[in-house]
Amino acid sequence: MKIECTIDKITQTLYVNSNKPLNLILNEDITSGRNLSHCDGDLCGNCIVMIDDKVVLSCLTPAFLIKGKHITTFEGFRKTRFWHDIERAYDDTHLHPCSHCFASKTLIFESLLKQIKKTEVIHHHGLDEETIVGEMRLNTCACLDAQEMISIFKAAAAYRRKRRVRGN
Amino acid sequence: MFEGIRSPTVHMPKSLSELAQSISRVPDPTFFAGGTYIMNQKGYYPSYSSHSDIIYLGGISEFQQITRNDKYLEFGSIVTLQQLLSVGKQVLPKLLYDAIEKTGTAITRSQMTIGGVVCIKQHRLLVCGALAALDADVEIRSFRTNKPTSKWVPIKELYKNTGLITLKKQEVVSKIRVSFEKETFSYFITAQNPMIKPEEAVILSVGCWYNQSVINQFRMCIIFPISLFLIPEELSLMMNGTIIPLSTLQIEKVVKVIIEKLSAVAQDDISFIQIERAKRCIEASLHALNAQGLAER
Repeated sequence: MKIECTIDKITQTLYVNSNKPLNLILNEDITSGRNLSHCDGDLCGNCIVMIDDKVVLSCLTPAFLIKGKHITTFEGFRKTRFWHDIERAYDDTHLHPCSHCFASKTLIFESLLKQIKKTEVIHHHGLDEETIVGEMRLNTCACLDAQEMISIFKAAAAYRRKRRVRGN
Repeated sequence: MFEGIRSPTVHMPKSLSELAQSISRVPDPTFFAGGTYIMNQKGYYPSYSSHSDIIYLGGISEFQQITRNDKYLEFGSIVTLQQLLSVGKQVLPKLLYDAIEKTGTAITRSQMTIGGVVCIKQHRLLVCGALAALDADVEIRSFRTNKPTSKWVPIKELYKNTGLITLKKQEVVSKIRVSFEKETFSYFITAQNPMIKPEEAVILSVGCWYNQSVINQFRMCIIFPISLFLIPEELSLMMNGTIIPLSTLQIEKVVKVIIEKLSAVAQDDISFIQIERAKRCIEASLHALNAQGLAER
């Protein structure tokens, strides 16, 4: 199947099986340093990417659904200004996910930060702690404790709010 | 591309008439809604065996609507679980809301569709139990003859007691509807993750309608994800007219009746741990009913 899509702002024409999962396409059909996990149904949550700015599990996304879509991997996300909010939160809190789940956890944080925009700010950061921990549970790596994840999110949310106030 | 693996043809109908055409062309299609369950199967890709042509239902606008009238909340089968949650607690029955909220995370829920969850062949998940306890109806569209037909059936008729779906090859679930008559008491619990350890998981959904401590309607659905889908009708009859709080003897009797029934239905397919978990879940639900009843006095 011929598929045209944009991966990290580069237009790609791919010839792949229509039901091939996106994580395998990124691993095998695109020449770059991306290496997403393929847990084959174990729901490890280590293959997260963004499709049209929506965070998805790439192992659950077949090739035919990415036709004409804009895919952003962690490598692409690192080139955006939004990455710096999370990067600074990692540095401020002195907490980092392990190298195995770093990309996925960062993108889950980003999806949570995006939710703040949509929800009315009821709590200080717009999302309750249960929601934050519940969402982070998608990634099964146990390198960060629940409290650590909340601290990182709160720090990142503060930076994101400042950015929004400044309007960039 | 793996050598020797055929790439399935993907049909993407945009309307019901195009869907009918696609179904008439493809003898044994794989219907693809969100695809989360299909893609999550071990060894799904690469595989030399399982690739029939795909009919992707996500483009059909009739299947994407959420509507409400005086009696029912009606949603198309392609509506994602996250979209359903966004309808809100005020509109969605609490039991269904709880079941959806406990299904995965927001990221996975935005990929899962309600129709997809309902129509998995052999694996019953959280939402099915909640819909059954709420006595939801599903609209089945049949494309078996030249003239497509549709009919509404109660969701419990969609499954056998063993949890297998009764949907035929050229039939699809197009809509699901639940009544606006809100349950006075709802209870939803899962023991163990039904996706990760389906052979040990238990899902219990209870919907109860009572007035001044007298139960008018009581519906319970017990699911063992890969071996049982049970709505004990005799329990509903037994509970109607009962006064809350239930006595210890009554609770014991209910548990006994259900365990006997599920042992008779599933026999060897269920594990000891599932029976034990089911017992405790049922007891917990009845104690919660008692607690709510007493708190309201």
